[in-house]
Amino acid sequence: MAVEKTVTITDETGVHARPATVLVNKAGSFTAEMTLEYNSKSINLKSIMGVMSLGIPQGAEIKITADGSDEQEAIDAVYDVIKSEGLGE
Amino acid sequence: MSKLSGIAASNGIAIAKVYTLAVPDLSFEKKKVEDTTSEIDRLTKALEVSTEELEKIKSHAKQTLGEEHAEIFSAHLLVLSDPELIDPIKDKIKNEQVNAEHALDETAQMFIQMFESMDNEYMRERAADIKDVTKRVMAHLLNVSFPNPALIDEEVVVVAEDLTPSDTAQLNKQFVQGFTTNIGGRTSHSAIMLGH
Repeated sequence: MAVEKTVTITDETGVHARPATVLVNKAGSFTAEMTLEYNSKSINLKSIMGVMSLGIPQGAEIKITADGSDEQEAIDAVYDVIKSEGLGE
Repeated sequence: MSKLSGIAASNGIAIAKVYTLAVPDLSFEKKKVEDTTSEIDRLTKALEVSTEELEKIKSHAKQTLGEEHAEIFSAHLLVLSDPELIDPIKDKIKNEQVNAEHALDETAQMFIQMFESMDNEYMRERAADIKDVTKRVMAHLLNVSFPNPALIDEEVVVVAEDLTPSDTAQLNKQFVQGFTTNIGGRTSHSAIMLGH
């Protein structure tokens, strides 16, 4: 059973390089498969190139999914990063 | 004794040991491989050595250049462990039975072109990251030494064909007394960055 969370990006520069780096590092520390969906495109949240290639702007609604043994922990941790980095809520 | 003359990019005199920042010869030939498993192992080893090196450079850069300059290496490390880059290289070795050098080059080129064509400065910076990281891994695959100017810890004058912005960002002004390049002038990017 995968878990998912929808987040609205409030940072005025969108998902830029620095928080994207923190986000990918955090996702990479879990075994669950994680994806990020924006604008009907879905990418691997453990890939910096994937995340950056979406060019997510302010106001965007993104969906994060985690699937695997530590999925709940993983999605909570990633959501914490989004909040602490001031990316969105 | 020989004498060289050139254009002064800035005022002043520097005397120190020469540090040659040579661009390594990364040329290779495309080869067919039978044993793709050991070819993938060779890639994995080159990635591991590159990661260790970058970790070392990053912690060194943090101490000598500050957190901000060290960040460039965090980005490099993420590229090095990016499954969307590494997995296609491994697949290519396996499916097309080619050497790691060829698989790495073709896959990286594809990403570099994709990112360079984007109308976004961040993405163009990622293209530069992929280029830098690919060169390091390639050097390890080919067993040629790769210069790490960030690790300079004695007074030197840097001698190079040209200095890229990423080279320049790694130079610690405490140790680098001056630099001389074959390409460039008073207004070149590196001259401006180091002049300040």
